[in-house]
Amino acid sequence: MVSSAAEDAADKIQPNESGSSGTQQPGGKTLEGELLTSPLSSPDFSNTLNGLIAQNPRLFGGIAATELLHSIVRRLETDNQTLTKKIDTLQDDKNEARESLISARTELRNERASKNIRTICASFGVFLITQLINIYKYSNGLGIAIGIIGIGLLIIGFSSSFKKGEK
Amino acid sequence: MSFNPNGELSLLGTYDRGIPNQERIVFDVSPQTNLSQYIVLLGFRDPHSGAVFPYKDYLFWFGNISAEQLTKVFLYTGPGEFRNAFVQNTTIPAFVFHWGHPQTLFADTSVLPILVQIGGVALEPPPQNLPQLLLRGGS
Repeated sequence: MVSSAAEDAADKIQPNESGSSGTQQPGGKTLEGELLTSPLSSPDFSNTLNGLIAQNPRLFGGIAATELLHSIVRRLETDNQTLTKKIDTLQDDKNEARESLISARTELRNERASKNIRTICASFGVFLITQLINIYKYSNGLGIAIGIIGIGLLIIGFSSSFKKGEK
Repeated sequence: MSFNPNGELSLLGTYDRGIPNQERIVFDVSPQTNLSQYIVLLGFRDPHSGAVFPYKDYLFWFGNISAEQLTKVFLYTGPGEFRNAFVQNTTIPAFVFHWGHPQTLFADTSVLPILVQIGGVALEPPPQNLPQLLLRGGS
């Protein structure tokens, strides 16, 4: 297994000319294809050590030392598996949290934009209604129209406030 | 993962996963070896058990080519032309192969390359051509 540190160090390993045609496209998040049902396992360190100890129980200076080393290796491999699972779980949690954060930010942005529009509508509605009497003196029809528009804008401006209150 | 710890070709890793035209598998050669005895498969590592299941339809063979010690072998997953090059900013020799897949393969980190050393090869003897006139019964 290549350690992540080694991968980082080798990140820039590339030839001076790749010869790539440049036509490759991004693939899916998962690779489509049928898997064989039997797993292919590489020999892990513990199994390799088992084999060596079976051949020579005094390999590491004596039976006790060999047993001790073997138990340490087994313990480390168990810990490694446990930690790998925990990392996977934490990674999943992190992805979920990130998605929730993105969703909340989008909602907040929309809410802010909506609030600005409502404030403008309410202000303009109030302005129109305050001017209603003056306009009505000159033209009844125009006054009624302005009144309807003003009330409409006020309703729009306050409607979502009511909704918010309901929530 | 080095599949065969005593092999002359070892798997260094997969780099630039999921990036088109840059995604590549890198191998180390030590000592000199002929690459024809190796093939590359794709596998899927089960995240829970850690077991690796090979995919049925992915196989790459390098062909009959000899590589000197310390040569780096690059296998790009996309299309391209073979290059006898150097590792960038070094004088380390490099062979650059291309698998020819139109899309990237390793976006999913559970997908991994499997290096296999061929233990033997068997071919069926050349079949005899069947005279086609005999098959046109009744005509």
